[in-house]
This record gives sequence, structure tokens and C-alpha cells, in this order.
Amino acid sequence: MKKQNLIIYAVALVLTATGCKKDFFDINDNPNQPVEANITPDLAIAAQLTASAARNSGNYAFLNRWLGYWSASGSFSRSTVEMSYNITNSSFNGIWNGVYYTVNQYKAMEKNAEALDWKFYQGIAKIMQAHEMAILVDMYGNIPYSEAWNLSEYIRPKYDNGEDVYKALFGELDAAIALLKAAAQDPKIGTVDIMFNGNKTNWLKFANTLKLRLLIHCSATTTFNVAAEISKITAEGSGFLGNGISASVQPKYAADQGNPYYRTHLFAQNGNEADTYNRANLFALDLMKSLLDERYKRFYREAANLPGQFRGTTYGQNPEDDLNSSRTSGPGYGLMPTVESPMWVMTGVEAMFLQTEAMIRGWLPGDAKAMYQNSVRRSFVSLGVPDATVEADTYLAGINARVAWPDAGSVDQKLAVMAWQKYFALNGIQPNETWVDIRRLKVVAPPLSVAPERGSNPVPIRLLYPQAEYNFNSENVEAQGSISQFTSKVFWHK
Amino acid sequence: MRKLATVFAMLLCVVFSAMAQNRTVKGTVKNEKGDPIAFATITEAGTKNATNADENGNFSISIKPNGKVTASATGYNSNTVAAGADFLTIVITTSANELAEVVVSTALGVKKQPRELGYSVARIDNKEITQATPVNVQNGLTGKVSGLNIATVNNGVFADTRITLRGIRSLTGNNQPLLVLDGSPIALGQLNNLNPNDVEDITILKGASAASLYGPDGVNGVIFVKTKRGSKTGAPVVTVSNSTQFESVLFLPKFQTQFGAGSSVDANGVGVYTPYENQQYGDAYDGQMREIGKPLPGNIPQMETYSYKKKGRLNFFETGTTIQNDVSFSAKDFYLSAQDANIKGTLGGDKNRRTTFRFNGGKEYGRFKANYNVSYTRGQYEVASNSPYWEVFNTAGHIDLAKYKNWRTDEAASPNHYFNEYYQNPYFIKDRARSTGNSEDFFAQLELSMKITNWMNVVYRASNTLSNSSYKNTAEAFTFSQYAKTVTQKNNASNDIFASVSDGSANSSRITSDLFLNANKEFGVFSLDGLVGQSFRQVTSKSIGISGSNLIIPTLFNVANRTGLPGVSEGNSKTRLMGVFGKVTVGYKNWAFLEFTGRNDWDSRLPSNNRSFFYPGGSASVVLSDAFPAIKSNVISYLKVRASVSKSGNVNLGAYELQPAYSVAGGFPYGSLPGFTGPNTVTDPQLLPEFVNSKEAGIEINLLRNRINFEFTAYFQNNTNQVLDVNTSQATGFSRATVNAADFDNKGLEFDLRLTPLVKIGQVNIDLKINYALQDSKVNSVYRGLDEITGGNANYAIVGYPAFMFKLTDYLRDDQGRIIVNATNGYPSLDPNIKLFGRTLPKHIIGINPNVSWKGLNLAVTADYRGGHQVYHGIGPDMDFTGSSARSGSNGRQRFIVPNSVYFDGTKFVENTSVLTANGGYGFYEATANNRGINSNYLTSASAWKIREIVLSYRLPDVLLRKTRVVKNATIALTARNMFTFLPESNQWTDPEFANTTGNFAGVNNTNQLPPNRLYGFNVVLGF
Repeated sequence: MKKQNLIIYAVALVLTATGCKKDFFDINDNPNQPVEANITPDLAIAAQLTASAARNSGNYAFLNRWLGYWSASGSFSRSTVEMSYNITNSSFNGIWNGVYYTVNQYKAMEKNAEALDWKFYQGIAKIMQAHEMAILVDMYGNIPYSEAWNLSEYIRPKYDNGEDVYKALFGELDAAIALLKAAAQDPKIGTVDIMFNGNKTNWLKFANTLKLRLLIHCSATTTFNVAAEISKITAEGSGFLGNGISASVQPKYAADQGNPYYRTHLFAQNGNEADTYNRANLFALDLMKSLLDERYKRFYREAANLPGQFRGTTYGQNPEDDLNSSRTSGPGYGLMPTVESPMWVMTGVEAMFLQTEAMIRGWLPGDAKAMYQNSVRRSFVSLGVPDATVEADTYLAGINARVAWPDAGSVDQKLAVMAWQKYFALNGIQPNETWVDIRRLKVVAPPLSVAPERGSNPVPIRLLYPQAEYNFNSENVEAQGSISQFTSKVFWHK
Repeated sequence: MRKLATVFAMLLCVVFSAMAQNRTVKGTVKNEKGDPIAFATITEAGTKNATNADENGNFSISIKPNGKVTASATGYNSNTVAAGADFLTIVITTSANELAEVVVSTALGVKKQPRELGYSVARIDNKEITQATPVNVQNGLTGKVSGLNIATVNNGVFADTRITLRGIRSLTGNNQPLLVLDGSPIALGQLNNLNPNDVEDITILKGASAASLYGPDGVNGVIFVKTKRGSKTGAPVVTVSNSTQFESVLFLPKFQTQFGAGSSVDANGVGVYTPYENQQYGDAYDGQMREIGKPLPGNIPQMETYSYKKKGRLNFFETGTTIQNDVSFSAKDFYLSAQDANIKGTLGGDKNRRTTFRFNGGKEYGRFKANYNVSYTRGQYEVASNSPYWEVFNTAGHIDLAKYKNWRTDEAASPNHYFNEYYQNPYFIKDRARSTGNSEDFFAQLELSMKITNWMNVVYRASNTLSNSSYKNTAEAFTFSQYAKTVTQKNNASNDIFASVSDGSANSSRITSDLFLNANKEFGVFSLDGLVGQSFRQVTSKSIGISGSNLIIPTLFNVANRTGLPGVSEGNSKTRLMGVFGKVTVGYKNWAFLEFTGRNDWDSRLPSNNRSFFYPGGSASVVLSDAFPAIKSNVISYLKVRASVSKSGNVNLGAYELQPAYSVAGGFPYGSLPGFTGPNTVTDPQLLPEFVNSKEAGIEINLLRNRINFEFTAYFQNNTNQVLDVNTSQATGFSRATVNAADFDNKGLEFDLRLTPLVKIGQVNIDLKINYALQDSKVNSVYRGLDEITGGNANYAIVGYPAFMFKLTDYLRDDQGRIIVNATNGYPSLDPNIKLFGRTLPKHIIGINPNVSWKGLNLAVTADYRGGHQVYHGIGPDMDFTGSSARSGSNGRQRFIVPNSVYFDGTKFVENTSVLTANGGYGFYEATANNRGINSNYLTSASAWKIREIVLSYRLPDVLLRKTRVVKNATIALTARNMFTFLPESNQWTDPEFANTTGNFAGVNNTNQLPPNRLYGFNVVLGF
């Protein structure tokens, strides 16, 4: 009897141990979040385009301050890091991390699109990757590219020459153009493509303009066979952005889900000022006032407590009560008129200045003067200056060397006036491109910080690799040698 | 509660009527040879009434008229005699099986004699845990067991502790032990919900060998808590107690005491006073009246003497209280208790209340036995949502903060006019945003056992922990006055503060069941003990949160009352684990034991093809003093050696981590437009479980009739296949990757010495217990192509070094280690290549527990030391930023030569004896590149001696109590916790135990940890 009992218990145990079905443990499907298999490209594209645009609202404020557009209000103590230009490997890592992350998202989207044969999405993914990576080269020079985004093979990706990355991006853009041209019109693309609503021609214009931007960046180098590249663009035939066409995203921003630039630099949802730190830099403000350039009222807004007054501060100065945030001018409505306005990735105005420069250099056929004047006019219009064309024409009729087109001038003189006008036009909008022009054309010299900590430092010419690279990818970053933000040049910087 | 009180009152009446007159009996205790037995225990049979014999075996005890007396001593059989005469000679005989009465709980609650165990266990009884009336069990364990490291990482009304046994076994996963309550494994966090007075004893299964039957959960050791099951004798006992403790700040960081508010310098480089500055780089204190801030309405200047106020910052903190009231009733197989613990913190307004009820019972029906335990814990808390500590220690030294308490009514304290233009009034910060919450934890357990034969039984044990919690975080609105906006030009005054609220709840359920068959039979000189069983665990949880900002009616904290979109979140999780296990122990003549274990697990979190894993273990012990009786002498009473080898599997992975999960991108969805974005971390979809290969060996020796107990253990664990978060270059597309990687060794030594008594002079009895643990580790490999990883907090695991090491930024130095300064401005600079510093985890842990008793008086002290590691003070650079730190005033704000520095003269580095820093105040200390960003400035030794507990108790003489006819025993005690902390000179900031995490990457503190506190008070225990 006892033996029988024993057997019964033993059997019971074995049953409980093995009686569960195999799927008893198959409970590991995520009930909270979608996984990669759920995410078709149409579910990811808008998020990534928004992220690319948001870099213009969130990452470049320091460049606006370094380059004479913005400065700190008198309500804050001096930043001894940024204002001395003694940046560290922890400064501005958000750009590096953001670009590599976003490009990884575009890569995932591209891979899924390829599997589904959704060529439109593949093309968009490639264009956006080129757009992102060029920004990184412009700020860091040599960067990981050929071994990047391949964790299973390269956990420590090597660095590629910035010049090689640029060349590779041209290949990507060519491939993107071919894919777009071959793409069938996708039923959803009209709503999820928040940049051009599925307008193929506009995407092709954007790709061509990006190519032109990179060619212009390399104006002092022999990286590309410019004539051959230009003829490829011309042969493609869609032309460039400009004349009212910008690469901007519009996911239907609304009060509850506001434009990030408006919410970062103008006003918060509760009506408070979103940005009490950034204020008009006296350098740009005074220059515009002296040139009777009405745009300053759109780049900046009236001081909150001093109606009608536009007041600026000097970069690097001590906090001062008279210059506190309510007595100085913050970023203006011309930059972002409302919380529902679209957010730019690349403006048509910049595209027109790029074409102007290409015409001055003789790369593109056409009347450089007309293109130049149209660029300035378009800047006035897009900023919402009242009576914009009239104001612009009055302004262009001025005789100041920063405005007047030197009909009989040399190429360099023409480039100089173009450089000044591009400098004014990109105020608060695309300071990363201004930074490229300052280094490349050496026309505009931004004001130096007056912070005593600066000593004799000049404005930096690049960023320092993130500390994480020294920590987790040390041998590759160290192979780049000792990097100085004052002397280690990006490849196109001659 | 009222009903409960009535029940107790009735019970009391029953007990009191049983009281009667006592008498005193004297006597002596001897062994069979007639030698007196020193310090034998004399008990009135069937009661808790007990005393000790002196060193000559003489005793005196007061007993009931017809009571019997039991004499017992370690290593002897006890003997009970009728106390007919007034002087008794009680003979007790040497036990064939010394220490037989001591049993410890091993895995699954199986009771064993220590001699059978091939691994180390430690047992701590209720008295040791509760001597200083700690509010939670973990505080009561600190310093008392070798190898157990309990770090209290913060102050305040919650006890954030990190508990580890024998160092770490996972670089980035869990290292905290399993909590087993009356045999059922439950979440470690439930330790906070236990009433320490309910604990009968705690057994610490230190190593993976001891806990291998618990499977993956036991790999970090087990804290086995046994709650009281009723009075030992079966006589009804009612205990009522109160503990009241006061809490005050032990110390604040070291401040500079010379300079007031300011952030700029004049032409001579001297600090300029700015009345409304937050930074403290102004001119030196002169004792004169000065205006601070901006004038109050009516142009009334705010005036303050410009001198250092010693308690200006300290007075911000209040005296906290911890009040615990306890009542319990126990009888045979019956235990009922209630506790109310009420904590008010040193941060005014912070409070936490815990109310616990427990009912434990059992019943035997022939061959069946049932035990059931039920406990219910309710927690209620209210605390400040944001730590105001930054604003406190960064308030200028001439300010007396306590003046600014009443910000709602006092104009000077109001945010409209508060003197500091840049920082808010810390009272406003703590009062404006509050977090409140409730929790309910219900634990139910049923244990059924049946004797199948007299050598075999089967046990089924099931438990469920149900936890329910909810929180509500509120933040009040503040609308700045027109005066603040236009006249005082308060910084940011144009930005009114809006009200916001967030609300959420979470519930979880943890079901465990164990079924095992246990057989125990002797075959001649051999004994066989076998066990086979199965266990199952399912954990489910759910949480929901909602939030809203910009509340329309600012005083109505409800999410529905908002403009804009609400924030919403939902989380669900479910995991299952099943194990099948077996164990067999062969004993020989009760002095040699050999044990084998094996377990196989199935875990739902792993990929289906890697889900099942098996691991074996074995251990042996030999009681040499019995195997070779010649060893036994008056010197050596007991000698045992033991060893074990085992392997344990572990799964350091959350539910659903195998597949990359996408999130809704910020701002999305815009209407019907979806936007998902991928993770920034990636997990290898084919992860395998981790394995810990443990070896340990030890020796236990008792000397001088068990007066001296010594235990030594050496252990070595090789941890392989670590599931690891590897930090990666962001250029890979990810910031981290979770992979099977890393192999590291964890090793250490443990010494426990008990001297009971150490000295006995007359009636003065001095005991001493000392434990020491050396904990070390070595990383063997990390991951393909990687030789180091970090999980944050500057903690690195580097091949060839212990886990973890600090790697931090340091000065740019020449090859002799001297700081390179700029030849013009004398400033040092930061080296972008981070450098290796010391370890982040303690290497040496010492606990010392002396105990002095004289008659009813008892003094117990717990002291401990942790050392060999370093701590990074995150508040260091924060204090240099504002200039409140002693460091920032160390050279009187004068230009100085950076000590041990060199400069480059164009060809070589020359020693710097001439280049002064361009500035010695703000320009130097506030700067990141030459001071605050240089982490090594704020890294110090983390070693500390602490006097954790001091308890002076007095047990009232029975003679006195007899007159009351009500109270059976009474003890009053003065208690103190954390009275003294001894730190090295270099540590100017805070308690090195404090950290910003209870995770693995320790050793870094920040402003979220309040300053360390001490507690002192009294405790009254009455038994009826």
C-alpha cells in the first residue's frame, strides 16, 4: 500500500513537471509596444522626417550664439564653457548621437521598404541619410561611415575620411534618384510623406539641391568633378528647391502638438516665454539696423517689457539687470510665425543662395545678379516682412558693400556680397550652413565672445568627438590624433 | 482597530488571572564528572523565564511555587528537575550530538543541523535584529553577518537600500538576493513591508550552493525570513511596545565661510557683491548690514548682516520622528500582530506611514499538518516631488534660510520677492510639488504537509503576493505679481507657474508554488536524505499612468481639469518560471555528509530554443571532532570542514526584451498620422542563460566549551555567459547592446568570530562578535573586440581589473603625473582621455558587535567599516558652481599656483613656481574645462567607520514587576542609529554609502540624496 502511494506521488510530480503544454512559456510577445515586424515604412517615415527637422529647432542654438545671431539675456550667468569656446568632449553630443540614431532609423525603414519593394520610401530614406550625414561631416570632419550601423560586425566602427563620406553620399543620392524615378505612386505616401506629400519632383529637387550644397561646400577642394556632377543634375531635369519650395515638414502641428521651434524658442503652450535665454546679438541686430534692413523685426521680437523696442546683448558679457530677458529681444515671429507653421529641413532661400553662388562661379548658367536679388527678395517674403518685395527692392538699392551687387566686380567681390546676404538670411534658421560659409568663404567674421575666460581663443572651426567615442570606440577615435576645436580642419576647409 | 483593542483587553484579563506568587531557587549546574558548567542556561520549565549560571555554574532563579527547572548548555543534553529544595544540584550530561538543538532552515525551508551543511549559512535571531528598533529588517541586519553588504543609499522617509551577498555575480543585471518568507520566494522589495518584530529569525544562505534549489532566483543568495508561529511554550503572551526615535541631520558638506553673493570680479580680480545672486563669488564678509535681493513693495529694502551664519543652511532641516507602536498576541500555533510605524522626515512635511497586520497559525490533524500565514501592509506617504537640496546647499552663507519658511504669507519669502533671483526658495520648491501615494500588500501562504510514512513526507506550499499601489503627484500654480514682473524684474517672472497633476496606479501578483517529496531514512551507519520537487512562479504586473499640465482650475488636481493633451501610459508584464529539482544527501555516522543537487528550469523570457537549462551541484561536510574523537579536548569542542561545488543558471532579462520594441515618437500621433521610432538599444534575439560556477570551502571551530566560535569561508565564483548591456559607439546606430558576453570571477573570504562571553567579571558579561569579509573580483573578458564596458556612473568593468573601476576625467598631466597648466593664465586643462581610478565597491567590510550586560542592564553596539573603494561626489562640482563649497574658498579667492603643476616653455615642461591662475575665484572654480569638469577633483576614498547602533536597555527586575500583578516582563531601552560616522579628511561632502542608484553602478551621489541623518530615542516593551 505504501509503495502504491509512493508511485502515485511520483507520477503526480512528473505530471505537474511535464504536463504543461509547450506554449505555456510562449508568453513573451510584447503587449505594450510594437516590434520591428509591425513597423512598415509608412508607420516610421513621419517620425523620422520630424526628427530630422527638429534638429534645426533643438541642436544649433549654440551656433546662433557663436556666429553673431543670438546671445544670452542678462538674466543668466556666463557659461564659462561655451562663451570661452573651451568646449569639451561632452559639449553638443546631441548632434552626433541624434544623427547616428536617426540614420539608423532611416536604414531600418530602407531595409523594410526594400523587402516590400516600396521604392518611394527607399529613395526618401537614402536622401535623408545623405542630408544627415553631410551635417555630421561638416561639424566633425572624419567620422565612422563605412562600418557604421552594423553592430553585429563592427561594434567599434572605424573612422572614414570626411571626403570619402561626401563621395559616398553622392552615390546614395544618385541611387535615391533612380529609386524615386522607378517608384510606383504609393497610396499612403500622400499623407505620410509630411515633407512633400508624395510629390516626386519636389523630392528630386531636394536631392539635386543637396548635391549642390555639398558641391558648394567643396568649392575650395577638388573632391568632385564639378562639371560632370552639374551636368548629371541638369540631365536629371527637376531643378532645385527655391522660389517658395522648401523642404519642410508639416505633420499638422497644432496648439497641443506644437511646432518644436515655436515651442523651444518662442512660446510654451501655457503662454509663457519658452526661451528666456536666447536674445538678439547686438552684432547682427546693429548691422541690420544700420543697413535699414526691416528683417530685424522679424528675426527678433519686441522686448516683453519695452514695447516697440528691439534690444540685443553682447555675447559673453556679465549678467545685467537692464538686459534681463524681459528687456531684450528673443527669437522672432519671422522665424516661426505660429505654433502651426511647418518646420524646415532645408529652406528654399538657402537653395537660391546656393544657386547664386554656383552662377557666380560659372557652374550653372544664368544671371547671377538676378538670382542674388531674387534670393534676398525671397528671404524678405518668407520672413513675412510687411510689403516684402517693396522693402526688399529698397534694401537692394542700397549702396552698402554688404548689399549692393558689384556689377563690375570680381568673382570674389560677388561671392562676398552673396556671403553677407546669405549670412543675414540664415539668421536663426540654418546657422550650421552659415558656419560652413564662414569657414569656407572667410567673408563674414563673427564677433568674438567678450567673456574673460576666452583669452585669445578664436571661434571654433569644428566640434570635438563625443566622450562616448573615447570611452567605447577609443582606438578608432584615437587614430584621428589629437583634435583641437581651433585647428583641426574639416576636409573642405582650406 | 477598536475591535482589536477589545479582543486584546479580554485576552489580557485571561492572562492576568493566571498570575500567582513566586519563590527563589538557587543551585549549581555540573557535568557527569562533577565539573561545574559555566554559563549554563537555567529556565523555568514551560516558560520564557530564564537566567544564566555564572562561571562557576551557580545560579539563582525566581519560579512559581511548584515550578520545575531546566538546565541546558551548548554541547550538553538538557535536564529538567523538580525544584523541591531551595538549593539544587543539576547534572547535565555531554550530548552525543553536540549542537543538536540548533537547526537552521535550508533551501525550501528544510530544517538541517549545521553539521550536515557543506556551505555557509548564518542565522540571526529576532533579538539581534530588533535591538535598536529599526523601522525595517534591512537596517537591523546591517553589520551583523559577514558577506552581507547592506548599503542605505539615501535618507528620507523611504529606506532605499541595496543588498548584496558575497559581492556581485552579474555585471549589469540583478545582484540582490532572493527573499523567502516562511518558505515562499517573494520579491525582495517586500522586505520593506515586514514588521521586524514579527520575525522569529533570519537565515542567510550566502552562496549559490546553498540556494541552488531556488534556481535562478537564488543565485545571489537567499534571505530566509521565518515569522513567529506562536509562543514556544504554548502559554499565551501579549507584548506591547513603543519605540520613539528622533532624527536629525548628522552633517552637511563643508562650506566656505568667507564670501557672500556675487558672480563677477572688479578690475583687481576681487569678487563683487550682488544682492540677488545665487552664486557666492562676492567679496569677503564684513559683518555690516547689507541689502539682499530687491526691495519689497513700498520700496522697503531687505537687510541682512553680511556675516556667515553657521546654521543658516542646517536650520532648513527639521527634527524627524519615527514612532512605532506594536502589539502582538501569541499562543500555541497562533500569532497575531499589528504594527503602526509613523515616520516624519527631516525634510519638513515628508512622511511615511506603514501599518502591518499579521496572522500566522497552524494545525495538525494526525499525519496532516497545515500552516497558514496572512499579512497585510498598508503604506501611505507624502513627500516633496523635487529635492530642494541643491537650493539649500547653494544658498549663500550669510542667509538664514529658516526665515523664508512661510512663503505663502511672508513677503520676503514669497517667490515674488525672494532675495535670490536665480534659485527658488527651497521651501517653495518642497511645498509646491508634492507626491502622495498609497500601497497595499497582501501576502497569503498555505503550507500543507503529510507524513506518508515515518520517513517520508510530502509538502505543498503556495503563496500569493498581491500588491496594489497608487500615486498622485501635484504641483501648485504660482502667478507672479505685477510688482515682480515690472518692479523687481524677477528673473523669469514673466513665466507664471502652472498647476499640473499626474496620477497612476499599479498592481502586481506573484504566485509561487512548491511541491516536494522528502524522504529520510537510516541504513545502519548510513543515512539517506532525498528530496524531489517542482516549483512554479508567475509574476504579472500592470501599471497605468495619466498626467495633465496647465490645470484650468489651479487648485483642482484632476487630470480632466486641464488644457492640452494628457500624457498616458500603460505597461503590462507577465513571466513564468518552472523548475524541477532533486537533492540527495548521504550521511555516514552523523559526521560525514555528501550532498548532490540538480535542477532544470524553463523560463518564458528566453528564446524558446534556449529556454530549458540544467545545472548540478554537490557539497560535503565532515565533523572532524566526531570522526577523530581524539581531537576533541577541553580546548577544541567542535571542528568541521566543508566544501561545495555548484553551478546555477540565471536569467538577467526582463520580459519582452528579445525583440526590439518601437515607441511612439515624441509628439505623435498627429491626428491620424502615425509615427513610430525604434529603440536605441538592441538585444541579441538568441540570448542564453547566464551560469554561475561556485566553489566554496570552510572550516568551523568551537573552542573552550563553545565559548569561542570561529567560522571561515573562502569562495570563488566564475560567472560566464553574462547577459550584458554593452555600451557602444553611437555610430553603430545604438548606444547599448544586450548580448551574452563577459566572464568574470567573484571571490572572497569571510571570517566570523563569536566570543560568548568574552569576559565575565562577576555579573558583568561581555560578549563580542566580529565579522570580516574580503570581497574581490576580476574581469576575464568582456565582448568580442571590447575589453571594457560601462553601465553608467563612470563604473567600468575592464579586463584584468575588479568590477567595477572608476574611469573619470582628470587633468592633462605630464609623464611625471604633474598637472600641465597654461603658461599664460596658469589654468590646468582637461584630458579628454578618461583615466582609471579605484574600485567602486567595498573590498573590506567589517562588523563589530560588542554586548555588555550586568543584571538587567544591557549595552549593545553595532559598528561597521567599509573600505577599499572610492566615491564620486556629484554635489562637489555643483557646490563649486555656486561657490558655496569649502573647496572654492580654499585659497581665499586669490590667484594661486596650481599645486604640483608644470607649464610648457616652448621646448619642455618646467615646474611651475611663478604662473598664477588668472583668477582664483569665479573664473577658476566655476569653469568646467579647468575645474568642474575634472571629475578627479571630487573623487575620494569611500571608507567609513560607522557606529550604526547603540542600545542601552534595562529589563526591570521580576521582583518589581510581580507587585504589579499585570506585567510579566518589561524592558526599556535608549536606542540610537548612525550616531557617529568617521570619514577621511578628503571627503568633504557626504556619507560615502549614499548613491544615486540601488543598481550595480554605485559610488556616485548627487543632490537627490539628502544629508545623512542620525536617529536616537527610546523603546518600551511590555510583556503580559
